[in-house]
Amino acid sequence: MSLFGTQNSSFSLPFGSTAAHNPMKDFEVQSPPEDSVSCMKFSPAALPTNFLVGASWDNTVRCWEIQAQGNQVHTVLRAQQSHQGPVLGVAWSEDGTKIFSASCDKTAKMWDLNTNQFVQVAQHDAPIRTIHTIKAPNYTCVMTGSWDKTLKFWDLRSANPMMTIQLPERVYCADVVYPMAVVGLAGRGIIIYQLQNQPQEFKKIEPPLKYQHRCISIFNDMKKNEPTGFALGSIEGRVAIQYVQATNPKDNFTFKCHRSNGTSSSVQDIFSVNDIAFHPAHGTLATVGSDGRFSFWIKMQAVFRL
Amino acid sequence: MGICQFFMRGSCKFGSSCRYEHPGHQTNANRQYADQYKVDHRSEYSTQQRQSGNRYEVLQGQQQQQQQQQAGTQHLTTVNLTKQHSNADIVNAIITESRVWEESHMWPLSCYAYMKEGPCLSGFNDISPEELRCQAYECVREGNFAKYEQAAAGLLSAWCGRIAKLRDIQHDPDARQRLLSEIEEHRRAGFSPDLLLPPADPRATPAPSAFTAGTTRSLFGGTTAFGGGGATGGSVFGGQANVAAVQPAIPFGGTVVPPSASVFGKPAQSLFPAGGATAGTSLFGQGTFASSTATTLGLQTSPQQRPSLLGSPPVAPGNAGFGSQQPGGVPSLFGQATATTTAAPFSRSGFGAASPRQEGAPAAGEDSYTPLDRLTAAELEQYRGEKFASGKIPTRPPPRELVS
Repeated sequence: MSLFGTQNSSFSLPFGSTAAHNPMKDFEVQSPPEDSVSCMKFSPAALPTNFLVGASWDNTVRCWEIQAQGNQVHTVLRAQQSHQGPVLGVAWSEDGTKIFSASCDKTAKMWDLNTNQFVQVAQHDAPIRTIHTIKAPNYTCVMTGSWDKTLKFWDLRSANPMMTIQLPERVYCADVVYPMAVVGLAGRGIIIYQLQNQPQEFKKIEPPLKYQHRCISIFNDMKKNEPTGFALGSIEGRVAIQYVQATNPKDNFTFKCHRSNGTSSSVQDIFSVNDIAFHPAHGTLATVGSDGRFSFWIKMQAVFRL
Repeated sequence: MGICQFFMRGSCKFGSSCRYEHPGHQTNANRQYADQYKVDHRSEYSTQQRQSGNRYEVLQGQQQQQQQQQAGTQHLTTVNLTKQHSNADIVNAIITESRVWEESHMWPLSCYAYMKEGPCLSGFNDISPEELRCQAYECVREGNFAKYEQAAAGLLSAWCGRIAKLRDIQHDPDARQRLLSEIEEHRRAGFSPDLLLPPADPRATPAPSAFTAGTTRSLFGGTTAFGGGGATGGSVFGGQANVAAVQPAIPFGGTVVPPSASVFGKPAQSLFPAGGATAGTSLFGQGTFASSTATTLGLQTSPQQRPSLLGSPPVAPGNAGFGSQQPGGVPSLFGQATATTTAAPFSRSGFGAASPRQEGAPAAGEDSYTPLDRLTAAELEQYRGEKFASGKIPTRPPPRELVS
């Protein structure tokens, strides 16, 4: 019996859809990875051309150049590198010259795009689940979160971490928007860190969701353009919007998403929310789920589907 | 039947005798169900929204109601539990949610809490899809996929078994009693999500909590060798004998995972530690010393950690630069200078070539002191005394605090 693929068990999980391939006529990236994609990031604004880096379960990290011509989009695979195990996370350096990737082989590596060198920069005792770059006025580092229950900060000059934070549980998801970092743990833990001067635990949040945390994404206050809260997705087809300092308890709320329309006699299918992303300028967010769908939402005091 | 607009705004004076529909509330379809289980079908909106008079509430309610109608799950809406609900209410809600969990094909290997911002129920630990998949790929690499299949099947049936047990708990008075007493314990702790107290070293007095391996407290526990805590839980998920004492008693008598299926039992490498209690440190420490220990770097309390990562001298001063948070110290608001740590502004060479900790950095970068709260009273007494009494010499290093 396997959870992934054929279903011979009594407990069947509805993986995959039987819908037609590419029903929305999206542009497919050329030379895609040969296995599931775990994480993707666009290059930062500092670069003149747009690149997309994708991490995959086939152990590779691939970088495509994206060229938009009129209403056509072309993608060209520029380069790729390999880990010893599936790659679970990628991050760009702020200047767009380096890509960091975190893998199940318990290492994180830095890929210098100019020299095409691929060197190890981090080590954990268990697969590394998240990787983010932090650029503060007085330091620059890479933050890795792992299933070994630690959060480590790496200055790339040294083989040892600059700082290690012990966590009560494994890291399942994380996000960084300076000066705030938030980490979602197994067992429904959420911890916020404050990154000024040095990373420091700021607050533990009481979990607004009842099931396993799956993804987390920080959003900014629209007026002040600084991080003010985060969205948290769980396996239960639900997203919680949570403010770090809620001016009003009703500011924090949850909404359901990625659920199928059940019939009147049966329960609807509930899919997990696998990722959430906020628009950098508008107050909109996108969620993607295991039902194979993506949704766009506006976040005001409630959330409305677009 | 039309929707009652007053109800949508949270103020319908007719209540259940209103002739318009109150979505999420009892309808004919679910009245029978509700009577049987006495579940309060309050709406699924978070309670804050209903009381708020938020002017978007109407729209939001309509949107949710639409979703709900499409979903057709009015007979199985999940309930928003609060501390005001009785234990019996909670049990009923748990039953409903277990049914939803099973029938909606949600990911089964998840922790579960019946109340938002509340504690997890014992016996349910988180395993994420990535962890499972990683193990699968490893087994493929080793050429032994059958090992993974067997272990995954075991996990799945164990979890589904537990969910089914919750769903049928009305028919199992023993289990129901255990569930009620666990809920009662949570209630006494204020439903705080922080019910995982500091790691109980096998020699220390275990702090009472819903998660200690008392088989009497176990929600699912039998006292079979299997149910003995998590030792088996430990071997399936971690193989760490010395944390067995703090396992939640996960497996219950009669589950199908055979002891030999400890396929993931590589110490320090296991992807399946037996849940929160392994670390044991409080998830949401109330600023006690124990919780600050949890986030203090360097004090490697989990046996799975290798000390070498932090041991080397060049790093120690760096680490010492921002040492442990003081007990009870909650960092001040964002953006303001923190009062707790010794953080000198960082030099350009990166973190912490800065001032050493005020308590004195451990010699030679060794982080081998035992935190104060882990020592038994007897050991503390020995350390405090003038000399060790023979026969009572502590076998663990002294706490940093007592080392001058």
